[in-house]
Amino acid sequence: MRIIIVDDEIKALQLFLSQIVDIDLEYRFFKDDKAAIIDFAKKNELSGAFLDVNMPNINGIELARKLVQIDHSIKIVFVTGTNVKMEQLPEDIANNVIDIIYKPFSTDSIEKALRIISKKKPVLTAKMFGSFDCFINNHIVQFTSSKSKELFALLLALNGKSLTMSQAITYLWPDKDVDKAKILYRDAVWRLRSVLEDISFNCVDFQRALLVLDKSNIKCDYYDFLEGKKKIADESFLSSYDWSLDFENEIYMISQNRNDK
Amino acid sequence: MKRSLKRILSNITCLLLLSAGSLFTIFFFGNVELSNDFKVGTRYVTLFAVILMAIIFLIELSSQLLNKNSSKTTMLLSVLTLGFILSSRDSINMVAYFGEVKYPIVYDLLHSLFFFTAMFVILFFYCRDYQLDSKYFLLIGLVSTIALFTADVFSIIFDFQFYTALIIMSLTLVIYFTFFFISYQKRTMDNRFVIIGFIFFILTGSYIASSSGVYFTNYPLGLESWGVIVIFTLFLMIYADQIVRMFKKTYASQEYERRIKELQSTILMEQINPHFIFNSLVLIKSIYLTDREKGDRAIDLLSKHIRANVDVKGGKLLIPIEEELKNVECFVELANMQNNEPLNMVFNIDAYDFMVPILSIEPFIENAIKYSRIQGKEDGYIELSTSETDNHYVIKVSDNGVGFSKEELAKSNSQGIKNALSRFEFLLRATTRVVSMPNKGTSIEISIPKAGR
Repeated sequence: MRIIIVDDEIKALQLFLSQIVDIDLEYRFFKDDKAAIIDFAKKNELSGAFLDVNMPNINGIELARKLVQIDHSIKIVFVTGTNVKMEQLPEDIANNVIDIIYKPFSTDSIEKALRIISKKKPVLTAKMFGSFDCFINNHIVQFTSSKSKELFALLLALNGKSLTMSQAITYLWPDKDVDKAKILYRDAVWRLRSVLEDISFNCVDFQRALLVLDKSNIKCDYYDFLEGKKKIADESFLSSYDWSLDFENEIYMISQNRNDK
Repeated sequence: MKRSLKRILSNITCLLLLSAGSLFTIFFFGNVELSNDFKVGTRYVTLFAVILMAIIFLIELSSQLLNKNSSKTTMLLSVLTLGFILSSRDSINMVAYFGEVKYPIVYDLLHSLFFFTAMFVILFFYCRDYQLDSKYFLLIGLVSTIALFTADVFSIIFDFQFYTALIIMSLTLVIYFTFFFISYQKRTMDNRFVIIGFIFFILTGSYIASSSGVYFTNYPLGLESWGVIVIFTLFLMIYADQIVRMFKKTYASQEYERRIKELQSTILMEQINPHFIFNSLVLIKSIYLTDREKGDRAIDLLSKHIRANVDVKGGKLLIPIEEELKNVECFVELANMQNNEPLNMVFNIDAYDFMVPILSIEPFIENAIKYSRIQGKEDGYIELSTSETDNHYVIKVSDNGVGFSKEELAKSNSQGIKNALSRFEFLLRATTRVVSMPNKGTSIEISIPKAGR
């Protein structure tokens, strides 16, 4: 996949791009030499372009328009410090702009845009034996509260089955009174929702008093175990959560069966 | 329930009055032996009515040509009323003085045509302008109007006007129930709605009187002319209403724009808090010494916080509640990084998908952190909750901090909170309530009416 990057401050972006390993990427930097950019775009097939909006000699939006004229399928990402909004973009390029990244940007946002350009869907990896943790693109997912993390673990453990509010409360807040538990449940749901939105991995359908997990694009050692790809449970399941005992029995049974065979 | 009963009763009363009025007119006028002088006098009244209606028609026509947004309903009604009076028996009476009327039946047929078309226009006006959800009403109205018109034409041709009154009464019922249905569904009826309702009553009443009256008794001469003169005044009322509304609208929009500009500048002034930003920067510098990833996180949070503030400058006033909650979340996380004792913040979010003014919840949290002194408390917390009732979304921010007495509240209530509350009130017509008790905590409740209610 070939992309071009047009920006005054090259240094920072270069650092970020070098960190991204799992996407096959060929990139080329340009300062503000308009003729060279257009020439390059005409000779090479480009998947995407990262453009600054305000540059001394060229206007990013004008440049985007030129690039779209050369190749209608090119995907544009604006990288800007100013306050450009999606809805303010002119119509003829709006369809090609997939994202606007504001400075100072994070690796995540660059990676997200690259993934959209490469049409590669992100995969969430969950580690459920031992202590629980989730990773997206090799970065650890930071949950903003321990209970929202636990709630997500529970959803994963339920393996695609829906989770009602009352179920969640009996698992996670067994000794709290109902009203207090409901508040804590909603807090955990909001935080989980917010974290998943931040990493743009919307795998949970948040309905009223009901959560449903979409298992596609989730890689998880527990699922590997259930499918038989992973033979034995070497560590205890979700060791830090009390309710994991309910699942531990089943895992034990499966292990026993496998051993017998 | 009580209210709907009142509505039904008042509607039935109106219907009875209409029928009684028609019958009274027919018999009262019909039994009077008309003198020649009376007939001559009526001639002038009719002429007067025709001229008035022609003036209205000209006004409507010119406003239609000059202003494309003007209503077609009133124009159609004015031309139909003009036709109505020109083909009435009053007109026959008027024309008879100049010469012989050769085919009175043509007058009657035209009269019927104008009447039924006007009825349908009114029906259409009610259905369209008041967004009556059911298309069936329009269909039933169209079919029954055509059917009744056909029946009326037959009764005129075969001189069988005995049933005409009954026929028209049934059309009246169709339109009446549309009227009733709308007024029942939508709580607000504007002046135009009522005025056109009156025009409808007058047209129906005089048509019943003129067509059935002939059969029972004599024709109540001059009745329709007087009816049209009343319709003329009703049109004047529509114009007055329009003018008043226009003035109100321009005034309101000017006032609105002024307030919005004022709001934008106040949000800007108070929200960009340099103290907080510099503190954050110092903090980030120190975090980077030990934990690079945490430093990145802090920079992301700070830039999100600043961006939310900059968005106000972009003219955005309302944002989805989810976004505002994220602003709060990022503010709290950043604030927690600055404080040794992290704040216990609970998001009790039970309602999503509604709009709030930008940066309108954050000031409450900021205030609670500053004044409630919950951070020193063992079980201190701030709870932010959203919930939903049938008609409202409710946002509640409460803490169990030190609270204020009433006097303190009035004095110390920061400008930021006042502005945020007034933005809720002004932009969303929300009602707000601040309750604070010393040593028990403060709670702020905002209830936002759902749109379209």
